Amino acid sequence: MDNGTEHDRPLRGMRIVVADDEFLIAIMIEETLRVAGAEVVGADTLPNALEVALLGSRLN
Amino acid sequence: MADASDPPIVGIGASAGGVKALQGFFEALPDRPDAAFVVIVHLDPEFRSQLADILATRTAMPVVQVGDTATLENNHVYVIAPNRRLVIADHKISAVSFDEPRSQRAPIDLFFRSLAEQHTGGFAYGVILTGAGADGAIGVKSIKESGGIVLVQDPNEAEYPSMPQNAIAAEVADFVLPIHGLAKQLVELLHYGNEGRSALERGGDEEVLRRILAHLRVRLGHDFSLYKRATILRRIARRIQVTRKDSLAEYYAFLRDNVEEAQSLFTDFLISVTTFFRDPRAFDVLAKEAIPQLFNGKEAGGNIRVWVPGCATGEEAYTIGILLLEEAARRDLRPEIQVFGSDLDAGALAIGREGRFPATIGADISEERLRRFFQHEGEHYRVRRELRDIVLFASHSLLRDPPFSHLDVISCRNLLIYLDRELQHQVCNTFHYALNPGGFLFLGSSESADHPAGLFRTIDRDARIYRSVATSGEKQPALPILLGPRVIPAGGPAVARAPPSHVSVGDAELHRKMLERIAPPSMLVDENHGAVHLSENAGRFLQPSGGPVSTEATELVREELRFELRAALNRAFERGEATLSMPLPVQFNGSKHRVYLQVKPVLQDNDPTRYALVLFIEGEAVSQDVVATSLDRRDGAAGETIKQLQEELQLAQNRLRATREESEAANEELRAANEELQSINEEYRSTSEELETSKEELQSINEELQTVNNELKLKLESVSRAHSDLQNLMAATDVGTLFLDPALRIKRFTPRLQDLFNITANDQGRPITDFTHQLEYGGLVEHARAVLKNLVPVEQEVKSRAGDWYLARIRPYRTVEDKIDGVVATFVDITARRRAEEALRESEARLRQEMRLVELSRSPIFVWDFDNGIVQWNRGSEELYGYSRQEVIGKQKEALLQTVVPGSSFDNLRQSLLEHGTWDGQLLHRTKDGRILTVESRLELVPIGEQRLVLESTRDVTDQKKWERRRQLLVSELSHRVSNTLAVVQSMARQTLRTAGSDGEFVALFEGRLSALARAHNLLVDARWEGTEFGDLARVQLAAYIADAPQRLRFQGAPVNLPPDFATPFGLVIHELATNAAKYGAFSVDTGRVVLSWTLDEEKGKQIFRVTWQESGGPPVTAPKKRGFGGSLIERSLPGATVRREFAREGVRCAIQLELPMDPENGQRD
Repeated sequence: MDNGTEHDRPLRGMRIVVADDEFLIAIMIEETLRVAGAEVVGADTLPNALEVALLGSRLN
Repeated sequence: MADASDPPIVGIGASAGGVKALQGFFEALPDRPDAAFVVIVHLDPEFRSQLADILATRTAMPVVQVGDTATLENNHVYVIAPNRRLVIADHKISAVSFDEPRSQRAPIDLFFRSLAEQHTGGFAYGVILTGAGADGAIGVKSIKESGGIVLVQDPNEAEYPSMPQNAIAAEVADFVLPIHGLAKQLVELLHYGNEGRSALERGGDEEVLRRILAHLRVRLGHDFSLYKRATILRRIARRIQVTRKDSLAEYYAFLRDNVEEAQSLFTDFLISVTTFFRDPRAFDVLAKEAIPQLFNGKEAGGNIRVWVPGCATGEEAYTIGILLLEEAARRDLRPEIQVFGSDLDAGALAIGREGRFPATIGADISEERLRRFFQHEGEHYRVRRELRDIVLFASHSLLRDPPFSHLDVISCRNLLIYLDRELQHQVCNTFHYALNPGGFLFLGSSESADHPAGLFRTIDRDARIYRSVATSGEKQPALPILLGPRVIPAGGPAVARAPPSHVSVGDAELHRKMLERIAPPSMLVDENHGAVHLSENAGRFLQPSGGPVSTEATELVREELRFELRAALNRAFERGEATLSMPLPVQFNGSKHRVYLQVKPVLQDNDPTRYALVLFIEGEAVSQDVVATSLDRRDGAAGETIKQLQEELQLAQNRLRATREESEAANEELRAANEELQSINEEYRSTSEELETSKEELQSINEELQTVNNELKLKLESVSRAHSDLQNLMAATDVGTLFLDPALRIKRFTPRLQDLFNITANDQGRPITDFTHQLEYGGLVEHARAVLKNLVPVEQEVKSRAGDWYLARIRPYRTVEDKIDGVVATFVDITARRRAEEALRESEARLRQEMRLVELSRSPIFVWDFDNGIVQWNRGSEELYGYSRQEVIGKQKEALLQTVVPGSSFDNLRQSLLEHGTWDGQLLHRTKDGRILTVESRLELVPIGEQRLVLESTRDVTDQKKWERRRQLLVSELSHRVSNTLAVVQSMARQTLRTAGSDGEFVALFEGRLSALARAHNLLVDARWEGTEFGDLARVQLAAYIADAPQRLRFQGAPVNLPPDFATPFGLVIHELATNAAKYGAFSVDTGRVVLSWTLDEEKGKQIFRVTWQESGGPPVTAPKKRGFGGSLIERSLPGATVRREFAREGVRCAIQLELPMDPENGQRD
């Protein structure tokens, strides 16, 4: 997938937080975004998503 | 005052029928006739006049209504405004208010007088058109007197001839023509007037003028040479214009060739305007200062004599007569009053004698005087007998004839102004002679009696009242020299002359001398027969006797006269009789003359001495033959003869006396007969007047009869129409009507009655009792008789045998004289009404039922007045809103229920209701307890009478709305969850597919996961999606793995309620753990065991849920090389959870920890 063209990976270079309380939906979205070239950071709750968005990653 | 540069002014007077005449007149005029026209009509003071607009359509000249003041301009028409009269001053025309009451207004006369005063130069024209009454008749005289020209519409053409006739009767009309002729004539007059008069004023030919006056003197005997030149020229100029001549010479030729023109010119010379009480102030002064003095010292038998020379039509003479009669009435004295009115104009005198004047004199005479001295005769006033009897009219020339004498008053107004100064002085002398000493002279405002000096003294200069000054004793009054023919001065009229030389001689002395010279010789004798005074020439008849000198008259006169003189004197003194002797031959100087002795007794007031005047009247000479015969007789007869003659004479005298006595007796008889004839004459006159009155009465009756006849004719036509109407009404009416006479016999009936009664037109006159009818009305005849008896109408609704209904009404038949002449029965078909009434009753009953139903209905229904409050409020409304009927009646519905129209306003709702009559929709209403209800309302606007009522029924849909909202919410939720689930399934399918090694594996994995998801959903559905208990969820998910060996799985934990969001992922996680255990772990061998334990702890105010999956007894565990989809599901599908999997050799352990929302039920269950 890394070999795709710019046209095929329009979200390349972007870092996207995906937050959905439904895991199965979240992973389907993440997969779609990754195919489009984005770097996906998962968040299963809203506080987790805010944390990732503000700090770049989750606090452990 | 107007001057020649001003345009001529044409005053047009018209009344009834005038609009049409005026239209015709102006149509016939050219566009620019070169004059200003003023139209005077009798307008109703209450209404706006359209006359100006009407005339404007008939002439090119501008037509304006004079509302205030306007400058008169050439070729303009000025129209009088309502309730205004017009006057001219300084060439401006002004509208002013009337001074007189409406009934006495004469706007045409008033304007013509004003016009005449302003246009004395002769550029005024008076036109009289159709009209009732006599307005204008006086005004046209003023116009003519001022030199203007009078044109009158032909009465035969005029719609109302009265005004033209009266103008003609004033004898001043120059032209009497039809409308178009008048217009044409006027145009020509304007043309000639502008040129001819100007030419004459530039300078007349003196010689021609003198000839004209000479012609007039010769033809008619009147000399106008000493009249004022300006007056003469103005009057001649007028005639020149009327006769359309271009010069004085041409007119003189016309005058010579036309006999009638001399009379016309003469009449024009005599024109003078006279009105009753002309110059009222002067007459007031006369009434206060002069008239009372005439009565002072007068007794009932005294007399008052007044002369009005130049009286024209007599108004001035009557005016003074009125003042005298009023003064006499105030003093309760009736002296003998005689007013002499004299004039040259016979026509004017005839008018004065008739004593009949236009009704417009009301403008000059007070109402009280009109009532007392005049009687109203249609459009005229006639002088009453009391006034008429004291005024005597006579044709008399002031300048030529001897004056009236012994006068107390002379009123000569506005006559001297026409005479030159010398003639004025002579006239004043005449007046002085004619007046008693102290008598009053009343002149016009521009005249005076100051010259000759000493004759009069001024009483009131403004009023021109003078009093005669008594002459001194040595200057006896003498008749002025006015008598006899006059000689025309060679220089023409108005040429001053030196006064005659004898003017300085005493008039009385002159008179006496003249009498002495002309009259017969005379001798004044006292009652003793003594001669007192002799005239200068009486000596011829005197021959005193010899002996002592005696003054006895009979001794002084010639012997031939003595006998007769004695007898005559005796008769004069004893009987007071005047005698004239037979001719007596008297010898004078050798010839005998017949001499008559006339002896008159002389009576003097306040002088007891008695005198007789003896006149010696010498006749013709006696012929010689007679003388000779007489001498022969004397010579041949002796004394015997004389004696015999004397006896015969005595006998003759006796006979003469007897004859005289017989004559006196005959005279007495004649006197008696004369008196009788006078009496008869009076009776005749009285009878004539009665006949005249009767004739007038008959005329009046005739007119009344004609009027009555016309009225009867109209009434007959009206009756005929009424009869026709009645017949048509009878035929057309749908009401059966029966007229019965007092005996109940049929008089008349309408065709409709034949439907009910078996009668025909031939049955009239037969008793109604003879006929059958179709009515169930047995009391018809009895009711008819009762009505005849009691006169009280009877009404009854009766049914016919055919089932129809009739209103039978029986009333008395009243004639127009209010006499009862039978009865009238009417039968009105009321079947439809009865049916309608029944239907109405049924409808009302149904309505009452429906109203009751509405009232009792649980459905809210109420009625409110569109313009007022609530009028009806049923039980359903009471229940819904909580208000009782009593609480809401009369209150505004929208205020009471606080009506809100969602998305609009109540005003818009009302407007929509007005436009469409109905309205449907949802409203918000507030109940009495404050709840807001959503109602579906249906409103209908119903006009009932003058009210606009709104019927409103409502249905409470508040709960329905609430459930509707819930349903919407559920649908949305369901949709969301289905979508969510499908997305989960889709993702699950994709991940399973991605990780499955084969299709069979995919199907098995996918079905297992899908089943786990379904089981979790089933639990949630069973719990109404409110959550599920964790133990139940685990047992359902793991049931398939322990069906044969339930001991392989042990659950440890109290019941914990999971929220729906956690139930589904927990189901999947347990499924994945079990699947892995079945594939690689504890469930893959029979010896394997799994313990699923869980706890719910409250830590720091949070509920922490901890779950542990512990496998044991299975094959040795090795950690997977990579995390697959199942592992991801276990570790990540629980949001916010911490998941730790441990792959120990003895078995897999999975610990899950997460925070649950606070649930009060958790922790209470074991």
